[in-house]
Amino acid sequence: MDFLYHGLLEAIRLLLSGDPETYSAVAATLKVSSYAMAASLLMGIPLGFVLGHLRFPGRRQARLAVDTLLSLPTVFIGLMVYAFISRQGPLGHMGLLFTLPGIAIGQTLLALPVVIALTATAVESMDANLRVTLRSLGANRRQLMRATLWEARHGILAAALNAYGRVMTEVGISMMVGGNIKWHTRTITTAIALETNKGQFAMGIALGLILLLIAFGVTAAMSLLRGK
Amino acid sequence: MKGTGSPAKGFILLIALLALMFGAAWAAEPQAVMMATTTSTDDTGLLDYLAPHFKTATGYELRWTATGTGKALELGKNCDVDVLLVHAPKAEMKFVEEGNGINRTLVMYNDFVITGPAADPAGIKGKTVAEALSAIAAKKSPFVSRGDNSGTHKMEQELWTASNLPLPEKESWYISTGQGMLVTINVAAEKNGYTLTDRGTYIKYESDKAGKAPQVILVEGDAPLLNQYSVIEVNPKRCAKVNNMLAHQFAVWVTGPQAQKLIQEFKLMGKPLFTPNAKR
Amino acid sequence: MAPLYQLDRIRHHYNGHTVLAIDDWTLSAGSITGLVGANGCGKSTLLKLLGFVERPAEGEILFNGRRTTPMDDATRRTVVLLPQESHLLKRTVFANVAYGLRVRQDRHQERERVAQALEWVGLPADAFARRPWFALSGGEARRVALAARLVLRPQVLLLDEPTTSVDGASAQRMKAAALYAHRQWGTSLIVASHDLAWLHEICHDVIHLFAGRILGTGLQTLLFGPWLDLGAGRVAMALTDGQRFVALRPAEQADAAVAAIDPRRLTLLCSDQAPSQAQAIMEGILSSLTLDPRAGGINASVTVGHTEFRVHLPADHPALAGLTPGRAARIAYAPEDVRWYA
Repeated sequence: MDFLYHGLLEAIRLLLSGDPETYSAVAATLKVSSYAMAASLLMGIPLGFVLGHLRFPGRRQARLAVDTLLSLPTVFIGLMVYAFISRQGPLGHMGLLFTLPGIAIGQTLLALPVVIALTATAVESMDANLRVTLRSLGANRRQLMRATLWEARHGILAAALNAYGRVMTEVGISMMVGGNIKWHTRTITTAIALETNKGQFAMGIALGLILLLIAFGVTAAMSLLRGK
Repeated sequence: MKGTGSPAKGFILLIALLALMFGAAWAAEPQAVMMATTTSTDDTGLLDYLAPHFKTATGYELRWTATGTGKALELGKNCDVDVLLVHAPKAEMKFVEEGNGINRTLVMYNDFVITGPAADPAGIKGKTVAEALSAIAAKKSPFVSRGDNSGTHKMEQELWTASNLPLPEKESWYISTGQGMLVTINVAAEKNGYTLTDRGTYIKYESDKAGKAPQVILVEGDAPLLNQYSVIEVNPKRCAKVNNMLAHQFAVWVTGPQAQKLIQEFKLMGKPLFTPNAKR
Repeated sequence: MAPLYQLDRIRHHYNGHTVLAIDDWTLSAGSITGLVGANGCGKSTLLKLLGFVERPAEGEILFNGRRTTPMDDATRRTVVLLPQESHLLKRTVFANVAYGLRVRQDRHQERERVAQALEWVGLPADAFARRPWFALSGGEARRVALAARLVLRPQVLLLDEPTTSVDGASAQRMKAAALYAHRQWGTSLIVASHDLAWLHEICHDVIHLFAGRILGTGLQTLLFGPWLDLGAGRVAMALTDGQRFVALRPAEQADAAVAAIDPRRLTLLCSDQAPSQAQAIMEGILSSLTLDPRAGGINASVTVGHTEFRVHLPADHPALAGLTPGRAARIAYAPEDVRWYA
């Protein structure tokens, strides 16, 4: 199992030597996960808030559906997205297959249920007295919503981190939709899959460690933000 | 209250973001030929070696996605790629017959070999393919298959049939990995079994193990083991969106004298991998 | 001038269970009103309705003569409620106190006003304004919550058990701050509390709530039974120390009825004084003696068993001579003075 040790050395070498292939994969990963996170947070937080805060008919069913979608396998999402953006598919004319935005669409679908479900849970678990408190201090309906969202910020941050973890680490969508094209859509995870297939276990480990390093950076930044 | 935008503001941001995402995709439609190919051409580094030469010769970029032959053909059928470089002659011919591809041209071949443990428990060393497979089946020695509908897997299935043996898919000694070639060789090594592999991947495997490879070549050179690669242009009459001009450019180039010479010269660990055989 | 509040056939339910039923009730501006009753009697619900935090299921609330609902932001914002559970926002003390001002988009001299409000509840702004919500003791958190209401200088301040489960020093500060608001800006106070001595000290009127209904007003003592039929038209409730509270049998069924006795109908007996024939007598411990600031005279509380009877006496009543809290005291009343609520 000396490839573990070699993997660690390789990771350091790749980072220090500025290996262009590695940095291209890192850039692709960061870019695509940023797109996906931005889109899923922008859509997921309001939807999750509505699901957790408002009482409307069909809410339980919607909640059940979202919770079920948490278990969507990434390869399945990849296939679904492929079916839509393949040139033969309904969105084929947009030319999204084998592009980073294409992957981002799939990853958005992956992250969206996570963001919605966890935001809804965070909002639901707010103290029942919060509403009374805000109303009693004179908040109108809009101010009540804004303050509730802000009070739930720690839960929502946790939702974002959780979704980010899923997006960063998924390989099924990136492989299926992105095609693992070198210099273009090769992400860290598809690169790991490729290196593993090639039997370059040390290289796979190295890339895995780099992914972990990025995840650490993001998480650390978030927890700093949370500390404020 | 900072840090939380109003829904309206969020919506505008979302639109802006989507515009940014798709705008980038629309704006930069580069002059690149999109190819689906098999893992063997990518894993061996052949395409990394050829692509810059293609760029210099034609000015076009070569992009490829490396998958099993099955998925590569499916991508072609769905008009998602311009050109294919694959190695499953029967499936390719069917693909062309069904009107999915045009101008199928031979490019090169490498060969398959049957590898196994050096101890060779079934005693197949130096035999023909038919004899070797019979011996493995008779001895019930573990046989590790790709099982992923790849070109190699298809070749293996054809070899069992050509040797007048039933497909041993349900046998307990027949192990289907559903994974890539190198993984499959490693599984064979772990199981002390036999497997069918292309020579290029084996050379890579052998050099990775630095002279201590548990799997060795036992059967080679037999005619049925020839592994023919062809280039196929995706039919532009079926797929209006494919860039047949580029596909054709690549097909012509890769079967032309410059590329054929490059393929001849391509070596992995000092050993040639592919034999060019384009008839142009 | 229209009364501050006018409640008309108010009904409120939770989960199909009626928790409040008030047919007609008015309250005039500038008063201090106490709200007493057992837990679950509807005090918090009534305060939420009065604070326009919730809308009654049925009926109307007129505020200063105008029909008002929780949707009516402008009116609603002159009424401020301190809920029983004062939830602090996950922000600094400063932001908590300033929240109501910001909601009203009233940022004028915000810093000074927040600091001032904190001073009123005895929390120096220098030490507390920057603290996060979690770095406060229970009493401090409650005081911050009150400061967040006082800073708004409301026309009406509704306090739901403001001093329950806070330390003595905090309670003292909060009581003083509430009274300050009343004196300074004429804020009407409505206070739900179990602290009867405090209510009797500050309130112009006290309202008794029982099972969602208003059981009369005033500083009377309520007795909830069960009632034992003594025959001869009399009933009695056993007090925990073996004594009995005797009354005439009510017109309607006795077991669900609530008896009330007015403080002015109770008297203290001097140690050597014999009761008249018509009087019933109970022996208890004098628990407090306070000056009645408005009516004049003395309010005394006498505990018999676990029940506290409130007695109003003229300041020169002879039984008061030499009497101090902690001493045994005898109270007397005429059973026909007991009033009944069905």
